[in-house]
Amino acid sequence: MLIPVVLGISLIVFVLARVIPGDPARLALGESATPQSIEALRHEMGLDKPIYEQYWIYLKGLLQGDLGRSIRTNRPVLQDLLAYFPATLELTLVAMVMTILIAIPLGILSALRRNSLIDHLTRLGALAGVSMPIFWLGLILIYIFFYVLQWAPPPMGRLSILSSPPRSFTGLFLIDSLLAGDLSLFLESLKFILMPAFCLATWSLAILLRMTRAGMLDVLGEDYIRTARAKGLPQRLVVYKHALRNAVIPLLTVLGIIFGILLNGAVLTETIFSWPGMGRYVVDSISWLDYTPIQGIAIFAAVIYTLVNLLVDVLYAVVDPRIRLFKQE
Amino acid sequence: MRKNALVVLGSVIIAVLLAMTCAPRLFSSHDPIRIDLAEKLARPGVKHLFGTDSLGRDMFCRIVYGARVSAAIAISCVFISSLFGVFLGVTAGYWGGKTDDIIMRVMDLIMSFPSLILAMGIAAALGPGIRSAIYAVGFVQIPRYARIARSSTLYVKEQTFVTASISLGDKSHRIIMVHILPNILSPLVVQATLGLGSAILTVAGLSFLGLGAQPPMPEWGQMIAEGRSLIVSGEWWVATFPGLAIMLTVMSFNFVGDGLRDILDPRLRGK
Repeated sequence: MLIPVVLGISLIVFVLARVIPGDPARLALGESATPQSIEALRHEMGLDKPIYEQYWIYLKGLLQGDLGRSIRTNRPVLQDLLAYFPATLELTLVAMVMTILIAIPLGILSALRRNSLIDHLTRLGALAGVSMPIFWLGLILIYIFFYVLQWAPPPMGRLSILSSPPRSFTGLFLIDSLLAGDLSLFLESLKFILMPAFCLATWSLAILLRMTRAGMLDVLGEDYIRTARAKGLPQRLVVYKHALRNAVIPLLTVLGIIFGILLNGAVLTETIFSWPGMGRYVVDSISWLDYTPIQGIAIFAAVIYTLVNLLVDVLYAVVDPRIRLFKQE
Repeated sequence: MRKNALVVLGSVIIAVLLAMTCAPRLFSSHDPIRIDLAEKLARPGVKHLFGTDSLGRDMFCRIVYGARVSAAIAISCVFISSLFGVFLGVTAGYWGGKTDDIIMRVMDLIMSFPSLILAMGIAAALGPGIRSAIYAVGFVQIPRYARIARSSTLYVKEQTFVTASISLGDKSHRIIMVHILPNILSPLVVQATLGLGSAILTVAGLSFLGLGAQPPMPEWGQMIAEGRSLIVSGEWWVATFPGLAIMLTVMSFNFVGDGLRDILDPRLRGK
C-alpha cells in the first residue's frame, strides 16, 4: 500500500520539478557562467539524458535515500532534512499534546453543558480558530505577549541566543535537557516552545474540539447511555466509562488529519517564530529558488503523512474491538 | 435560533464585502497603491481609520480594495476546483469500475500531501504570482469536490428515476445532465461556500510566504507579510487589520456554509 503511494508521490514531485522554467545548471552556477561550464554541469547532473532515464535515475537514487543536493546549503538534502526534522517534530508533538489536552476536555464540557455560555463561547472560539490565518495569530501573540506584556521570549528560535543546545540524544530539546539533568535549560526550552506550539495547535484544536463535542453529543443521545442513567449510575461513571470510550474511537481517524494540518501549519508557524525546522527550510529553499530540497521535502512530508495515516488505521483496529473481531472472521 | 443569527450575520458581512468589491470608492477615497512617505506609519485615527503602512498607504483603503482581490481569488479557486472535481467525481461515480479506481487513486494521491506544502510546490514551480497561487490552491482542492461528487452520484444513480431513464434508452450524457447533476448540487454548494473561505486562507498563506500576490497588490495575506517586521517595533496596525479582515471573511463563509448545510441536509435525507 505504501509503495504505490510513494511511487506516485515521487512521480508528481519529479514532474513538478521538470515543469519549472529555468535551467537548474545555470541557476547553480550563477549569472557569469560560461556556456561550456553550464553544459558540463548539465551533463554531470544528467540533464541531457532522455526524460524517462532521468526519472529512473531519480527513482533509483530515492530508493537509496538520495534526495539530491541543496544548492543553498551545499549539503545532501537528506542530511539537511535530518538536521531540521527534530525541531519540527518537537514543535508538532507539543502542539499535538496541547491540542488533545485542551480540545477533548473542553469538547466534553461543551457537550455536557449544551447551549450554555461555555458551550457558545467554545464553539465561537473554535470557529474563529479555524477561520484565522495561523501566521497572523502568531504575530498577534508575539505582539501581545512579547511586545506589550513582555512575558514571552523574543520569537527567535528554540533557545535564547546566549544559550547553547543540550547534548543531542533525540534532537528534542525538552527531552535532551532533562536527560542531561539541566533543569534551567529545560525551562528555557519550554518557555520558547510554548507560544509557537500553541499557535500551531490552534487550527487542529478547533477541529478536534468540534469533533469531540459532536461525537459526545451523538453518544450521549444513545440508548445505552439512557440505560446507564436509568440504572442510577452516577454521572461521572456514565461519562467516563461509557460515553467517552465510544466517542473517542472516531477521533482516532481524525488524528491522521490533524497531523496533516499540523504539518501544514508548521511551515507558517516556523517562519513567524524563526523556528529552525523543516518548514523554515522549505521556505528558505523557495526564496532561494533551490528546487531540490523542495522536492525532497514534498516526498518526505508525504511519506510521513501516509505513514501516520497507516498507523492510525492500525490503531483504529486495535482500539475498536468490533473491527478486530470482524477481521478475525 | 442562534444558528440563524449567525447565518444572517455571515450573510451581512459577505454583502458588505461584495459592496467593497463592486464599489470600493464608496468606502474609501484614498488610493490603495499611491506611496506617500510623509504619512508613513501613522497610527489609526481620524485621518486614517486603520493607520498607514511603511509606504504611507492608507490601511483601511488597502483593506477595502483587498476585498476585491480576495473575492477574485476565492471565486477563481473554487471555480477551478469544482469544475475539475465535479467532472472527475461524476465520471468516477457514474461509470464505476476501472475508471473509478484510477480517478480515486489519483485523488487519494493528491490528498496524501499536506495541502499547503503541495500548493507551495506547485506555486513555486509556476513562478511567484497571484495566478500561480490560484492555480495551485485550485488544484489542491480538487479531490474534495471529486469525493463529494462521486458519493452523491453513486447515491443518485440508484434512484428509480435514473433506472427508469436508462430503461427508456436515454443517453448517458443526458442522464448526467438532467438527472444526476441537479441532484448532487446541495452538498457541493455547501463545500463551495466553505471552500471560498479556505481558498482565501490558503492563498493568503502563500502570499505571506512570497509565493502569491506580489506588491503592490493589496492582498490581505501579503499585507500581513509587510506588517510582520513592524510588529516587534510596536506598529501593530499594519499586520492586525488585514488578518482581522481575513478572519471575519472566512468566518462569514463558514457561518453561511454551516447554515446551508443545515438547511440542505435534512431535505436530502428526506428524499
